[in-house]
Parts: sequence; C-alpha cells; structure tokens
Amino acid sequence: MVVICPKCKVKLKVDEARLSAEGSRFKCPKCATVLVVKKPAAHEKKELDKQRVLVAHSKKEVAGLVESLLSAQGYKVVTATDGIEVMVKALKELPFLCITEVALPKIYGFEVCKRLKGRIETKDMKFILIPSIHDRTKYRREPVSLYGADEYVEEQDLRLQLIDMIDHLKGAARKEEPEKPRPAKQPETVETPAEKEPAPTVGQVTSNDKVEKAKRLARTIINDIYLYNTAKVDDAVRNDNFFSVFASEVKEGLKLYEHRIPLEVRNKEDYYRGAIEDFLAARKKTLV
Amino acid sequence: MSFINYSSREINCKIVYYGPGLCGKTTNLQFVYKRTNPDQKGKLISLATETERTLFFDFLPLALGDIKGFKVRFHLYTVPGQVFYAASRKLILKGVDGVVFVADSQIERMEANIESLDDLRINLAEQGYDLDKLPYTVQYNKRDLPSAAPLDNMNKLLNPRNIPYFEAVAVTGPGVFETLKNVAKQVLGELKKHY
Repeated sequence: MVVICPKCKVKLKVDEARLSAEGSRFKCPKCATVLVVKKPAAHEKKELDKQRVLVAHSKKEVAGLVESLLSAQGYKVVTATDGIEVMVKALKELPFLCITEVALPKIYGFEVCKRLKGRIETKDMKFILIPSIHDRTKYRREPVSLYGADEYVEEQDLRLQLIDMIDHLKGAARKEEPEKPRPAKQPETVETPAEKEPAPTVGQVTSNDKVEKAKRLARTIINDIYLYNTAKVDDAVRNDNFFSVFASEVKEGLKLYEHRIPLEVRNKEDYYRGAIEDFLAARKKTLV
Repeated sequence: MSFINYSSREINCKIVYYGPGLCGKTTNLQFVYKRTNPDQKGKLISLATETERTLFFDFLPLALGDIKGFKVRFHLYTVPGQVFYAASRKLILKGVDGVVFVADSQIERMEANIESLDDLRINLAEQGYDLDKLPYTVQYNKRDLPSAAPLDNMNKLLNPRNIPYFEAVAVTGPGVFETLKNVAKQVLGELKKHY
C-alpha cells in the first residue's frame, strides 16, 4: 500500500504484511517525520441494485425513450446528462446497469465505463453503450472496441433490442456469480499520513501506462489494417485466414510494435497478437 | 529548418500535415491547392511506394510575403497516416518548420488520434525537435459528422497546452485556410526572429 507523508508529501510504499492492527511506526526517509500507519479497514463492497438502471444521454428524447422502456419493465431509472453526473450517480445509487451515450459531454461514455469498471464498488456494473451514428452509411462502422462495455445498441434499435439485451446481461451475470472470486480487500489507512484510497506507486503507474500504451498501439495497428482494407479483412475473417492474407501487414505492424514497446512490457504478454485476436473475434461476431 | 535560396532570393519553409490514417491530411492539401492562384503554386506530387499503399507526400509551394527582400515559399507535405509507416513519417519530418496536426473528430478514431500525436512527438524527438517549441496548430477535422466528439473533450485529450485549434470540414473547405494561415503566421514569426 501507499501512504503520503503529511509533511513532505512524498509517496511511500509500505509493506502491508508488516503492519500490526494497532499501527506500526516508521520514519519518512525524506523528512524523518515519524508516521503511524494502521492496517487498512477493508472497503465495504455494497451490492449493486438489481432493479436500478442509470441512463445517461445528452439528448432528452433518447433518455426519455430508454426510461419509458425500462419503467415498463419495472426498473427504477436514474438519469444523467453528462459524464461527471454519471460518475457521481453511479457511485451513489449503485445501479446494476448503466446505459450511456458514447459521446457523452464532459467525460465520454467509454471513459466513464473504463473508470467505473476499474473501481471496486462498481466493477461488476454492466454497461451498454449507445453510439452516435451518422446517417450517411459511408461513415458508419461497426465498433472495433467497446472499451470494456458489455453491449452496444444503436439509437434506432433501442425499442427492439434493449430489453432483450438487459435480460441477457442479467442472465450472464447470474451465471458468472458463483465462479467469481471475492474481491480482494482494499487497504485503507486510518491515520492521517495515509491516503484514503491506495494509489499505485510511481513505478506501478509507469508500468501500467506502458502496458496501456502497448495495448493502444496494438489496437491502432489492427484498426488501421481494417480501415484501409475493410472488405478484404472481412473476407479473411469469414474464411479464417487473416494471418496468411495479411501476413505482410501484420509483420510490418509487429516491427513498429517491437520498435516502440520496451522488451519488459512485450515479455509480460503478447498484447499485439491479443489485440488482433480480439479484433478478429469481434468482427466475426458482427459478421455472423 | 528553413532553406535559403540566394539565387531566387527565397526562403523555403516546410509545413507538415500530420495525423492518423484517413483523417483528411491530403484532403486539406488538395483544397489548398485547388484554391491557390496557379502562378503561385508548383505541382501537386503524389508518391506511392512499391506496394502502392497510401504512402505519398504532396508538395505545394505558396508564395506569401517578404522577409528582408526574400520571398517566403511554403512547402506543404502530408505523411502516410497508417500507423506502421512510422519510418516514412520520420523522414518527411526532417527539416520541418511547422506542423499541423489533423485530428479525426469521430469518436471511434480518438485512440488513433492519441496514438498519432504520440508518434509525432516521438518522431520529432528522434530528430532533435520538441513539439512544444515548434510552430504548431491543431485542426479538428470532419466537424460536419454528427458522430464528432465534443470540442472540449478533444482539447482535453489532444491539446492539453491549449494552443490555437481550428474546426474544419476539409472536403468542403471550412477551417482549411484558417489552419494554414495560423501555422504560416507562426513560421513567419520564427523566421523574423532569426533573419
């Protein structure tokens, strides 16, 4: 866990195993202040409300439509019009599902999804994205990434698909539950020197950043291959021969990936191949 | 780094349009080319690689104002947008005097925008340039699409320094010349400092 020295504000990494329940004393290596750090109390994880749904859309008519569809099914609906409001309401109301516009003002819907899925209180929350689709078909593309969301539904399909989609998500959530490991207890220090929420150390942030960058570069490469060869990629997906048809592009992409991504990150996992396979799986699902 | 041609009494400056694949860099240049006086412009050249993929650059000189009796000629280049042509992009950035970053406003291209901006910084740094010290303008293109991301979000992601930015629809022209004028003004400002 990480605590912040109240005097010099330096972040200190503390081995939680060495902390006693009544608190351990140690000196800040930078300013020599004596700190008392107690073993953090675990975050209480509250259950998500299975009858509550958060609907976020900047257009009143869309939010209204979704609300009426959900109310008819007996759901309690909470609404929000921008990303900040969603973050606040999601954490306060703990709905089991959040239906959000992708291009939400202030914080994008997909960013909200990423942030909430990354928090212990809301990590099991389901997300359905509503993308903004341009009516000219030439600009319409299937989403290549849902940014961690569970489903996406276009505005014109809300009436037909939304309720089935929610039933499906609820079913999937029930199936997952028995297998799901209990969330790890998050440390929280009681004394002032500690941060309320343990922040990762600088080292961890950098390493996570590097992994995120590797993933992003890998996704951009495969998205670009698709963007420039849409029909050919779809054919290859249908015929299960993407890696042979696009061997040279994949190789070229790999060259850049290896040039840009440090070895220590590449050794963790093959994010490049992973991104391509995720993409192909998503395309396949769409094409079928 | 501008190049001075004493025989023709011209200072040559290089402006590079950078951005992710299919964001509208070439469309910007084509629009400028189309609307420029024929006497003032050279040929629009497109270079393709042996694999005939989208690797090409466009070349367009524009005469604009004088500095101490020297005419200033702008050479406008685009880079291949596809992410893995990083080496070609690096090559084209050589000797750059100003950069226009053309961002695709569509939400689904946001990640590609961020990646391209990172790529720009890396490629500039590898040649000893610092994006924060170069004449630099951001253009948010394809603003006509309803799927365009809100401006404040794009600024947050792509323009944390809040430098001049322009909304554009390069196919029809709004914002294209405003962007070029802004970067050209910055380049001229730099030149005046040195000459």
